[in-house]
Amino acid sequence: MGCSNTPFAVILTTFCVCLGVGTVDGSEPRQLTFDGDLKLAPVFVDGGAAVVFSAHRHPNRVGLIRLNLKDGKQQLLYPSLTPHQYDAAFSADGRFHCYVMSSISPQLVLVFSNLAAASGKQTIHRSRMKKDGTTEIVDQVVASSWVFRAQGARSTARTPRFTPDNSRIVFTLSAPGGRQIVSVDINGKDLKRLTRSAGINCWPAISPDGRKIAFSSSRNGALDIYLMNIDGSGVARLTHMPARDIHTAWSPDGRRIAFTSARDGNDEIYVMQADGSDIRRITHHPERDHYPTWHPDGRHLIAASERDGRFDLYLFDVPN
Amino acid sequence: MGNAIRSVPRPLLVRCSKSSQVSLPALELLEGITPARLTGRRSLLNELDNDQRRIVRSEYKKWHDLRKQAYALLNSADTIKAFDLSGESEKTRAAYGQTTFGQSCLLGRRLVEVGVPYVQVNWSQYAEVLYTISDYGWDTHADNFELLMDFHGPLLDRTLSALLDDLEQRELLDTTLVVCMGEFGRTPKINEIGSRDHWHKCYFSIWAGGGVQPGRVIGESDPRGEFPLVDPVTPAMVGTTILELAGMNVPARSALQVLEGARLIDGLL
Repeated sequence: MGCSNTPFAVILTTFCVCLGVGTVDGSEPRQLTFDGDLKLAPVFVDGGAAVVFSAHRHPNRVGLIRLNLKDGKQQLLYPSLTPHQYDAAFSADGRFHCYVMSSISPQLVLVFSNLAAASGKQTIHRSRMKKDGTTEIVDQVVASSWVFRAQGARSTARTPRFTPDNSRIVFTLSAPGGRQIVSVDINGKDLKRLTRSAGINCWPAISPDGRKIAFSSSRNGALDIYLMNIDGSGVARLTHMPARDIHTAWSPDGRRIAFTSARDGNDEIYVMQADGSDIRRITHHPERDHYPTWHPDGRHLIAASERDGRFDLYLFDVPN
Repeated sequence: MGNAIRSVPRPLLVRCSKSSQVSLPALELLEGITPARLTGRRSLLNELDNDQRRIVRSEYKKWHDLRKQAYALLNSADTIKAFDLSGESEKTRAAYGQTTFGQSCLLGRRLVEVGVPYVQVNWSQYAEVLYTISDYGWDTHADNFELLMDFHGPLLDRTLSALLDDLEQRELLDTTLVVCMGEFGRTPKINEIGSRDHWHKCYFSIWAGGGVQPGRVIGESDPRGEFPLVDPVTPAMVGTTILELAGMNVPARSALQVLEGARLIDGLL
């Protein structure tokens, strides 16, 4: 063999298919976790006393973890559950819980738990249902648990959100034309499609008054943020950037929307008025900051941030 | 340091977990077989082989070389040490990421250090990304966008950066070619469920070290990323260039009979 004698090696990595943080006002963010595991989609629970998020922690598993903010202790929500778990959501009153779980077939299914019900039992939920512009009180029987499994071997459900009155769950679904935003009632029935655009429609966030949904859509090319009525009507575009604008989150008072944007080169957290005006950058770091979620006090938000290659949750001040 | 590639490598499968546990299924001793007993067996086999060797000397040599290599691997202190990731600092292991892929790339660097000429690190032993037991394969027929942004992107970014930094700091990068690629790309047009299927007509790879010129973008696609606009780089050109950089000349490459007619990727050199 004709070879040189130069020491040499090749490392080939393949993708097998068959295979200094700072805030706007200069204050330092507070680091909430220190393990460095990849973390995603945090949500506040228990009035802001705890945070639930997805983390890549156990061997090849993504699990849901509850972080107690008082003592920093973390606890797996489902220690005996082996499938991946993503996108935790809790109703405003803490009675209902929803998350996304990988299935035996390559699917992501929506799992609902009625936390107020004993195992195998059901509860009565009194909710406000809007019909023809009026409001009425309806008593609903709510099952203790259910799984929403869309048709199609590779169907996926993501990012569930409860309406403030707990009458419905809004989420995204792989559906004809791309990824669409849909809703089901509190028992996983009565599927309604809210978007019908080409491309992907992701990360829905419901306004605190339950009337609007902010979401990200690629219908015009790049992922930008849009607003629509809770029934899918009246779509308005809020951002116009070639870089992605994603991960919407409403402030508790409904006046502002936080989101992730790569408009300045890498993922950072921004806040804008609910009409898309007055966009302000909250984080400034060469590594990513994403998945903002508001603290119930409306003055802070949490983001999943990468620092020195490690992924942790940080609490940021948000100027008024 | 590894030596130049002299012939078709004989691959050895190594499994590496995110917690840095390494196993070599092909080299695990059978239950009840101690190293001493293995040595005794080897002596006996040598005596029996003496006669056989006279009979089929040429074919026997190939087999004998392979067996010698296997014994060398089983008994080499350097090899055993290379597979023991506990020899790395927590800082280094963390830098690569506590994932199967991350720790596997760290193992790859250690193997290069002890002279292994070719290391292939496969991301995921499962094809589909969404199976319950999956470790996020790249076959993103569903949920492509969220998964790439949430998992694949950050994990690859961390591990590949750590690998290149580590090789450079150890002065290994100039003599180690790192190629990061898949066997095909994904459809530029999203599918009916908002994701991407297989697309082999236009995709990318990342090259570093080993004599390639850094900081270059080679090739150009149309605005949709569907087809090459000019001078397409083919898989055969990728293989040819890897072997050229590894020191294998034209006659040696021709002997492999898999890269006939392919030329080098000039822009890389």
